Amino acid sequence: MDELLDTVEKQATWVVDTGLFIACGRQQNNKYAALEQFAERNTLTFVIPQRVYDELGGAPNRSTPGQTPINSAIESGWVTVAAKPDYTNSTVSQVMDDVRSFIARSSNRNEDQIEKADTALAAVAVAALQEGADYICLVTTDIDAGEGVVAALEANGFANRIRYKNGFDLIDEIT
Amino acid sequence: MNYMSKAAGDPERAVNGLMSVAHLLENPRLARLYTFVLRNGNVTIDTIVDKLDIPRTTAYSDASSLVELGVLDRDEDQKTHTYSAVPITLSANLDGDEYTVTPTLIEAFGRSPQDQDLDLLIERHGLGKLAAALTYAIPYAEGEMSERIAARELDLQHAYAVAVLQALREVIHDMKTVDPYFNELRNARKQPPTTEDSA
Repeated sequence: MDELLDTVEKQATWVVDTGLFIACGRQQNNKYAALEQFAERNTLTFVIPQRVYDELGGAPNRSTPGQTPINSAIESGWVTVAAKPDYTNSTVSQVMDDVRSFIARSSNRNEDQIEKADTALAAVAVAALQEGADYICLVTTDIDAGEGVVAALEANGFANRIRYKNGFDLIDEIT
Repeated sequence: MNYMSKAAGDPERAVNGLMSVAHLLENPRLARLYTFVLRNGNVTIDTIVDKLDIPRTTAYSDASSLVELGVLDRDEDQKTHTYSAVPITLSANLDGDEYTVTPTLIEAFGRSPQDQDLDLLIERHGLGKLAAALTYAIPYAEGEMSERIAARELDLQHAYAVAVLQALREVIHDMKTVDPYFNELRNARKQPPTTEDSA
């Protein structure tokens, strides 16, 4: 499994979106164990925005996300909730605005229909880079969000510091 | 059944077709069999029994029901009969609210007993919600609408909405090239919500 990752990815900070955890649970014989093993073998910790943690809570018991063991993943240490980004930081807020515009355009909606919280992934990615991370691997099942975050970071001084991995592809690769 | 071959505009054919589609959308086992045959072309009862893992008597009687409904054809020319599907599309217009049912919706419904997320959706919110969710899953699967926007406009608990979108994404991937009327399905990207209740 380790050869799946290049050197950059092994040393990157991995920021992970809600949909990856849901997609793991939806697979036959859910794939949490595979995801955990993947994190452990590569000594990675998946960083999730508080927003993602909140989204995963409160799903109906009988649904896939209602059975997502996110809390035990956090207790085991392979998932961690990011500190709240500093929204007054000008780079953070500019990147968030850019992601909002990108998503509005690509989804054919007005910008006022895109919530600030929709851009939490970008804010956490910028904060990590400003705090010294070399590189970000963003894993999401949301193609729009993935492309939007990468474009916004590249436009704001972080060219070649982030890549986006499709969550469905990652699950296929690790199982 | 011969109503499928009658001239367009025939009221008898239209109403019988409506009833056939309604019947498929009431019985997920029939729905699943119909789209299985549509995806696989000419199939025998043996194939149906083997691939869908249902008893032979059920396969026979369900296939016969679908032939009677006019949505499957049975080829009796050879010793071993084969079944093929008649692609169906039905446009409903209720006081201006329009929706086109195509085999993709029938496949989504047929999967529901094996998919807890779709099953729960239909149980709690009805078949109409499944059809509505499909209009969001289409742009979502293509990367033309963000997961969060689609989930919010679907107005379900967020993570659960994502699970439904992901379930329908699988349906779309399997049906897109098989459903001849796929492009007639409504796409929520084209129609931003008119009210402010999406925020």
